[in-house]
Amino acid sequence: MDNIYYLKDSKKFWGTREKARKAKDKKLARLPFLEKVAMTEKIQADYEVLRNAKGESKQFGLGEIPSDAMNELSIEQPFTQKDFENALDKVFPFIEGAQADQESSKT
Amino acid sequence: MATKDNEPFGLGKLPADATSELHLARGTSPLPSVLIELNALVKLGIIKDYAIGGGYAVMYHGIPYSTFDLDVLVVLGSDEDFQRLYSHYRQKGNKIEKVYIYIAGMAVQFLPNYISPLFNNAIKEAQRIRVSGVPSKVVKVEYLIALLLTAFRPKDKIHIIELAKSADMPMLNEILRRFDDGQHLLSKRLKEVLGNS
Repeated sequence: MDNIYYLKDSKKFWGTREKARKAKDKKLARLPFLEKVAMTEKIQADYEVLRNAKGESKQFGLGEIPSDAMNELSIEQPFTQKDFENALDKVFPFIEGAQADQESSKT
Repeated sequence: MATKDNEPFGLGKLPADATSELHLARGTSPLPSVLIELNALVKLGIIKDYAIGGGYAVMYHGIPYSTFDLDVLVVLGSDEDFQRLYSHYRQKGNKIEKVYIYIAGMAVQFLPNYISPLFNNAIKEAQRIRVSGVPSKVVKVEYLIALLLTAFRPKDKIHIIELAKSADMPMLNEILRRFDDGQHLLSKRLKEVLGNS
């Protein structure tokens, strides 16, 4: 750890990443409507999972996988009409934002 | 499942087979699966340590934020280990698109600790958490602010204002004192953002 050689010039490193991010954002903006709904739902689910994450004071190895983790991962919930209506509410600002991005990239 | 293609439906109504398509694609979070995979990388010795950074760290610290990719700060032994990481996933057959490696359908960007001492310490002093029972680490709010001050895009400025409300300011100032450049760029940026809020 003490003998790390840090990047002398990080400009190229971040330039590559910025280009990749812009290409990905453009690709996402062109996704079909239903995929955008699914993406928005996924982000919402990620946020919920992180919001419920617990801080740890005790030590544990990062390689450790608790047995209950896999059970939680397999939980499936039915997608209801109400879920779809909620998803529509959430996705509209995102689509408007993506359209604005597309418009600004044309100009 | 039969559908009547020419039957109009309102935005609030959903054709039956569309519901099933959405059920397949539906947003249950892949994050715990990704974290299990990252922990396996530690176990395999491909990375020495890691911490969640970027937009997902912003979300962990309580700010809803639309991001599609997961930034993971990783401790590596050398530049070659960074190539080894990509080779590992190439061999496993994961989709790799430019800098992103897709794990459990999620675009993951690995940021090595040798970018700067700030990145290195952000991982070293990261907070231990459990996400759906899976052990992981996330960069502390003070380090996250320092990292956002480095990127300093318009959206970062907004997040800095929000994150600063829950930050330990003496600790943040100490981090900036240790890792700022000779011109105190990060400290100046922090003053600029918080001064305008």
